[in-house]
Amino acid sequence: MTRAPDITPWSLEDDELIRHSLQRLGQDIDPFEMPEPEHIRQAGQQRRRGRLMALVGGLAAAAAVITFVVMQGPHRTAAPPANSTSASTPIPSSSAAGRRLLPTPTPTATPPAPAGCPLASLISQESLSLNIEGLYTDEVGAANAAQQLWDALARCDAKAVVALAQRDQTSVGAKNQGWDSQLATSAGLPIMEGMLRTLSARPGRWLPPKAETDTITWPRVNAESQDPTAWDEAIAAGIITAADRDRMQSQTGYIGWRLAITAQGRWEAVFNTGD
Amino acid sequence: MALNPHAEDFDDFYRRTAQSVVHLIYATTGDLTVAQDCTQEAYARAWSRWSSVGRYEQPLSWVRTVARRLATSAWRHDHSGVRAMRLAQASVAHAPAPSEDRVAILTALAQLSPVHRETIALHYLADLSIEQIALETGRPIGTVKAHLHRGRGQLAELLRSTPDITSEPTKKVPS
Repeated sequence: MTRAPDITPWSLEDDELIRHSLQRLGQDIDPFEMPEPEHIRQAGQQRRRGRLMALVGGLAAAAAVITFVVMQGPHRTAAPPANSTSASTPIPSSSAAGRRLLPTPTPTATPPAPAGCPLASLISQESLSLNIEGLYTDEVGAANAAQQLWDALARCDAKAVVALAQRDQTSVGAKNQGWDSQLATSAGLPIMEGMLRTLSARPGRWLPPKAETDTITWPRVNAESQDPTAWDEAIAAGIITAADRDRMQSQTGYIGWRLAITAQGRWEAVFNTGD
Repeated sequence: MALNPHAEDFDDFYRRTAQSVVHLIYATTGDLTVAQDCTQEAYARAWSRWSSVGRYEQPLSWVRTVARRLATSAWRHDHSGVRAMRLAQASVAHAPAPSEDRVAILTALAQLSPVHRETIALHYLADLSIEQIALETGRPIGTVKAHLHRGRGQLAELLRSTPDITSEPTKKVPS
């Protein structure tokens, strides 16, 4: 490779000192034998299979949505929600015009849970269901990913939840450090319950909106939002109490559970400290 | 059974270049385990889309960028991403402890800002020009020049003031 001419006065001795020092670090690496390429290819193959599965799932979901929309006719064109003054409602933009809302999934879509799964009982007792209210058809990837996660949680399938997080390189908040190893234990149940309840609250968008893509967040209440309805939704979902709300509103803004999935369907983050 | 020709191509690329990526990330993060994990993950991602990455003019640049981003993300999220990678991989070897002189080099590097460290590593280890660094990091050329200028000035001063670095490496720090 060609080196561009340096633009600053520079001592060749210093240059050599840095180069030599950095090269020395290579001696720490030399004794380490990198994994064989077969091992790397195997890991890559698993990743590719995961992507294909997501693509097939996304296409199937998109086909179902298109069929639904065609059958429903043009009268379901998206309109801003009633509380459109809230900062956490869908971002008004020129591209939003003409977008169509996703249909609400039927609660029966969740696969049966194994016996002894307390989250399945919780869903049944409290009539919890995945909430994708306000998502548009071009955000079907997020709805699809949320459904995958919901299904795994509803089955108490910690392994599947961790697999989804690994696939998407999901960021976790400070309180969740080590959660991947905890999930399969009894200590993991409150984490899975928190995520399940979070997904049952109405979603919104990150604020300020990201330039590259919209990210959908559950719940829609956020640090900037003063919309009482959004706060009530978080209380109804069971992720904060009324006392939490009062404390957060007067001191910090919302710092409870938050789950973020990109419009394309990458599970971006899960926090329970208001990150 | 004959190996897929793409696999041969990838294996050759991996064998030729992987160690240089580990070296780069090691210098950038100061953590050899993170460097190894991020490098392996970057190559796994490269293989999962090798039909396109393999045709790039500089597939190494793609892998390097992915590994750098993974490393940045791993640090930002207190290693959570890397931990996830470790869970997914069957074997992660542990490297021996670095020798004293290399500990001194890592200590000096740790005193630079992350962006200066990254720029220095890309320039001296990946042998990239200022224009190439600008392209690979998405930063303006003037910014890269400034980072390189300040970073190497600071690093040279730190290295000169460390006696271990001027002597030949011999002793190992007990692990």
